[in-house]
Order: sequence, then C-alpha cells, then structure tokens
Amino acid sequence: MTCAERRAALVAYLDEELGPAERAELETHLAGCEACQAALAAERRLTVALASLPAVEPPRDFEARFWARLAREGEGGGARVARERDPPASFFERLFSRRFALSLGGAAAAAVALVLALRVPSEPDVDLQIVANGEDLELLEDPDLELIEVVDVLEEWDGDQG
Amino acid sequence: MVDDDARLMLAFRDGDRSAFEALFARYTPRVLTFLTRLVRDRARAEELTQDVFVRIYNAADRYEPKARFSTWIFGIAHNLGLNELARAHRRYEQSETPLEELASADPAPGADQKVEAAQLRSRLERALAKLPERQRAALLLRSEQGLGYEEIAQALDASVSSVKSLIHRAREALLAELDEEGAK
Repeated sequence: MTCAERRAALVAYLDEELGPAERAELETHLAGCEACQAALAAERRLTVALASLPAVEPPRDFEARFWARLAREGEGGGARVARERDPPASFFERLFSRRFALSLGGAAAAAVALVLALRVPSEPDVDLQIVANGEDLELLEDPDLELIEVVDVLEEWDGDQG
Repeated sequence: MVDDDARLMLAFRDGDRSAFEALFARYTPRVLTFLTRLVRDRARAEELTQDVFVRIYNAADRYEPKARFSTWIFGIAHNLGLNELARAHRRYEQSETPLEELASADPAPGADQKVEAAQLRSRLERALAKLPERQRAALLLRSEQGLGYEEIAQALDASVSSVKSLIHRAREALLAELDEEGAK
C-alpha cells in the first residue's frame, strides 16, 4: 500500500472507523513515515477547526412559529393538534365537532351521490355541489383538508355506523 | 436496538406530545445548523427546518424505528436541502448568507488568538461553501453532527465506501483551500 492510499484512510482512522487489522497496519506505517505523520497532524487540525464552527441557534419564536404553521396549514398535523388540544369527550361534543360535521358531510355526500346515480342518469353533468349545496360538502371541498384526513373521517363514520 | 430519540418518537406516536417537544428542542439547532451550511441561506434554512419537523410530526402515526432517529431526521433534512438547492441554485448564488456572519456567531473576539480563530472559521466557511453538495453534506454530518459512516450512508442513500470517499475528498479539498488562502 502506498502513502497516498494510506492517507485516504487517515480520516477513517481519526474517526475510529477502521477495522483492527487496517488500524494496526496504519499505525505501524505511521511510526516510520514522517510525511504521513504530517498529513495526520493536518487532518487533526482540520477536525479541531471544523468542531469550532459555531452552531446556528434558532430564533426565539421558532417553536411558536412551528405550532402556528401546523395549526394554520392543517397539514394532517393541524388535525392532530386540534385533537390533542380539544379531544372530543362525549357523543354530544363529537356531534358539534368539526370532524363529526365532516363525517356527516361524508355521509351526506355519499347519499347524494348514490341518489343521483340511481335517479338522475340522464343528467350526467349535474354538479353535486349545486344539488347538495350544504356546508358539509363545502367542508369536504376544503383545500386544507388532507386526503388522509378525509379517509380518517370516513373511517370514523363507518365506525360510528357499526 | 431502539435509541433514546426513537423511543421519544414512539412515545409521541402513542400520544405523548411532550415527547415531540423534547425532540424538537433537541434537534432544532442541529438540523438548522446543518441546513444553514448546506443551503447557505439562513432564512431558507429556517423554513426547511420547519418543513423537516412538519414531516416528522405528520409521519408519527406511521413511524417505525427502522434506523436511528438521527439518521432518519438528517436523511429528511438532506433530501429537502438538496431539493431546495436544485430548485433555486441561482437564487442562492445571489443571496447566500454572508460567510462572516456564520463564522462569527461566537462572542466577539478580543485577544489576537480569538481574532485568528475567527479568521480561520471564516476561511473554513468559505472553503466549505465551495465543496460539491454531497461532499459538504457528508462532511457536515460527520464533523458537526457526529453521525457514524453507516448512519451517514443511510441518510444520504449511499454506500459506506462512498461516504468514506466523499468525506476524504471533502477534507482534501478543504485542506488545499485553507493552504492556498493561508499562503495569500
């Protein structure tokens, strides 16, 4: 093995990422090679210099901004935040919760779609939103509502029916 | 084996919000530091760091500890950072965070030694900025964040031998750059 090849292993040596055999071979070589010793010293200095680079501290309001963003964007996390802060405790509370309203919306949408499919086959362009025109359906149109949340709502509704 | 941070994430998955808050406090400075040096834009790095935690928050329900938590979070940070660099490369060339601002985040130097140390850090920041992105990411994960080669390989979706090579080439380039600047 040449000095150049050994120098490629110096960093792994400093990082203690060499196997026992490689380590022993390198240490034997280092004991008799001034050029590789100098290279190792340079690597050590670089390691110290890199470790001296300061960490970047977040601004004070960083965490508050994070929670505000989750609540604002409702990226799945928004729904989770809402659940954690105000867990629905009873059937009646759930009745007035947004999630339950959404589940009713899901049910209403499914029912309207079924009725239209069965009774209005001659009007394929009927706009479901116009026919139903309810707040529940508007909620389902909410662009902030993640698909996963919709699925969640429908699963919850199924559970309520069962 | 599940590490402590992964255990916190599991606790969060099971409903313990304070576990997420602990992870947030522990990893925010680390992720922000990594992303600031990777994308060279402090404001954007803050946004990306928030993106990282939003992803982690939203992934909680599906979380399974397949790797160390640090590997997972830095893998997400690395991907978001590289995507950002690819998307807005030209913008960063025009508006990168002044290197001196990053290097002098420590208390103001007084003695000559401190001035020298601050100058070295500035030179190092400049040299780091010139590295190819993958080399910079691998080096930062090792030297600043203390990840092992295997962890870095997972975070960067590379082999361990590639990681060794990336770090070696990065350090060679840094040493050459520092020698050159020192000779000026």
